[in-house]
Amino acid sequence: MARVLIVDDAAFMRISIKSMLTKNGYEIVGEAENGLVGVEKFKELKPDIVTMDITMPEMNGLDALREIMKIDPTAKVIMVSAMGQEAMVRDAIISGAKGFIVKPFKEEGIVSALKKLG
Amino acid sequence: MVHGQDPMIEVFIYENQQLLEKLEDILLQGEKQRSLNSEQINEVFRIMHTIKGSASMMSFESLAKLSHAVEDLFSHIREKKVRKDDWDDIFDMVLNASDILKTDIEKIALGNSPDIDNSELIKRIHKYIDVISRHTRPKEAEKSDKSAKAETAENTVDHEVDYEDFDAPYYKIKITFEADCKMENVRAFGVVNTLLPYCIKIVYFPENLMDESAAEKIINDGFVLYIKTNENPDVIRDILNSVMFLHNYSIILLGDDADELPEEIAPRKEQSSEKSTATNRPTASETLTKQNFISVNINKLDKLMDLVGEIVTTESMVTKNPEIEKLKLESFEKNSQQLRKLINELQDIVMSVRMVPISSTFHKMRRIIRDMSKKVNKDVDLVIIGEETEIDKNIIDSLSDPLMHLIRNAIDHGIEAPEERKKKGKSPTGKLTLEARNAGGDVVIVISDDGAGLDRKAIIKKAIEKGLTTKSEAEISDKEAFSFIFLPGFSTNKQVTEYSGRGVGMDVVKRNLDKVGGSISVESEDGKGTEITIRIPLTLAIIEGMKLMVGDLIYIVPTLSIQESFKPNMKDVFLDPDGREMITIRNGVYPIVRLYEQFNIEPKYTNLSDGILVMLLMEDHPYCLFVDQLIGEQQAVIKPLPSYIKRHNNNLRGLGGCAILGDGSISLILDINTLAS
Repeated sequence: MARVLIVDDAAFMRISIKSMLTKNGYEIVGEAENGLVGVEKFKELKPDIVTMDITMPEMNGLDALREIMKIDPTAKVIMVSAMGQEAMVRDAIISGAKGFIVKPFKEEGIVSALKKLG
Repeated sequence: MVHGQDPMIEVFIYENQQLLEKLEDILLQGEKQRSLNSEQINEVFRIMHTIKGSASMMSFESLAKLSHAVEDLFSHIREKKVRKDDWDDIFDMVLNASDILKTDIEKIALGNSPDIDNSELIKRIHKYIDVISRHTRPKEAEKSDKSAKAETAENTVDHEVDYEDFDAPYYKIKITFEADCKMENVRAFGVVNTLLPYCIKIVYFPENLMDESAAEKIINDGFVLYIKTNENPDVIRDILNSVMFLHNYSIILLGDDADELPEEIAPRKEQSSEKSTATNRPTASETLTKQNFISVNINKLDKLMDLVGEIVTTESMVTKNPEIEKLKLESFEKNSQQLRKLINELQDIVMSVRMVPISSTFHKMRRIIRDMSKKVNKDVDLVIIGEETEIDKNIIDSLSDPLMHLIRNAIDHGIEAPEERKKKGKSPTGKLTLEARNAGGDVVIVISDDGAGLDRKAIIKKAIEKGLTTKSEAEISDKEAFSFIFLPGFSTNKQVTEYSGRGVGMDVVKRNLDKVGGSISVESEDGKGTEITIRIPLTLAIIEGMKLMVGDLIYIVPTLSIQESFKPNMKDVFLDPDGREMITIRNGVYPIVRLYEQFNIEPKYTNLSDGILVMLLMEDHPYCLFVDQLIGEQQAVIKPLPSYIKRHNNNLRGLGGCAILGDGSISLILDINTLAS
């Protein structure tokens, strides 16, 4: 099953995503609490999928996404956004994000989204 | 345009003038690259097609024939690849055709019949179509020989889209997203972004995806795309299958007849895939706004403006009526305030309706520069800044001629020939900048070049020769020297060329600008270039004015030009060596102008400390006006001074017009620019 890296500054969000995904057979290979750490972990762990929060300290999700796309243009990054962040999500799509989910989301939602990534 | 013409003709003239302007723009853009891209070729074709259609409807045979010929030419061009060398001739022919069409349409506008003999040009175009067909390889040969295409690619680099793509089919795609997946509009944007690389064109509805209402529309009606692509529909299906939260979609192949496309997808609305996604949306919204425009006869707007002016005057006549002012009428006060508010709003709207961006005037200059630089063998690049700046329609019309003259001057006398420029260590291509910007109640237009600059010595010598000055060279400031060129009959260039140098130029420019209340000034640095600054009022008709009283007379100055007003402290006042009164204010020294002396009237006060000083804001020489008292603000509808006054009094310096006050009396509006000089 696919290996996932979770990047989110909120511990609660990391735990929620982790539990939803592990229940569905995904392997969580790492967690990062900001973009900077996220990029480092991406290099180190080479996950199949990254879930990326947008608003984070140190380096936000958009910049982290761009760094990751530089490292691996085929990286599968999905953005975890909230209503009101339309413009940033749009920029993320232009920068190569494969998709996005909107908080609050349900288990079926995030799982169906990740399934599309193959 | 003649008022009261057959409305059909008016529309014909208006629309075709617009089309020709657009055509010229495209051609001049393309000429720089020495080719047109497929979008531009299509556009030219469509323009000519439209003109041909309406001209034949109106039975203007010669116009129809000429536009037909150009249409033919472009239908060939879009099917066959054109060699780079051919473009020069093509541009020449089409610009030529555009000139003929323009002149003919002007004739029609004046009520004459179009009579330019264009048979020679049509023959030339037809001959060229033959030439192009021979030069170029037919499409079929190319399809069968893909490797040869790579070899010829060098000749045709500028064609961004392969001409085979014209035959690509259109598909209609309708998408619905899963309920409650949120941000449907951004999801739709994602779809467009993913499909883009696979499509030649994409058009989608709703158009503006980042608009808040877009998500709502997509939830209710789904997201509809029209794409033009050579890809197998299965490829498109695969892409759509991988879109997250996509609930359902349908793909329908449309026939290659564009009639099946919905009418809203006018050809111009199509977005070609070579544009980046960032520039996609403005194109769509631009067409949206275009559909909201109607064209209105300018005479009607003039009438409307006059009426609003009358209303403003009448309103103050009613509410400031001396008999009513004595009474205390509370509800009357309240209602008249409301009335004033509404009239202000009305006035703002009427003003804004008359405002047009200066861009079309600037773009006209592009053509002039092209023609002229070709004739005099100089390379000139035009840089346009602030073309979105808006000015009153009437003022814009009177700007064209002065601008044209200044630009011709700049190219003819200012910018040097390429060899000379190289010798001076400049780039062989000259640079001409046209800039417009708002500054208070004025619009400032700056025409600057990086040419040789004005020859101060030659100008002064000439001025002395002609008896325009009695000072010696050392006494004359640069500013003064350069201002000589605006005097009638002044020209330092001994050689008269076709374009400029007849010595009837700059003074006419100045006079034209004076008419609309504008001013002009020059700065120049030897060897580095010249900068000409034009200032014109945003609008002519109504100003916010401050009423000033001197003796029993009331004068008005524009409120915008007042910096401050104050009671002078006599110890700050002194006389300069020429005996002029000056005042020191916060480290600045300003001349004092006594208004009663200017107009020879009996004031209430002659002692500075009894009256009041009004500091007037002027860019280079601010000054203080001495008056008896300030009365208050007043919206003034500027009326020109009657011609009989001008006839009997040549010295109207300092007066900009007159206005009717609330009590029916007439007040003079001061022209602060000429008052002090």
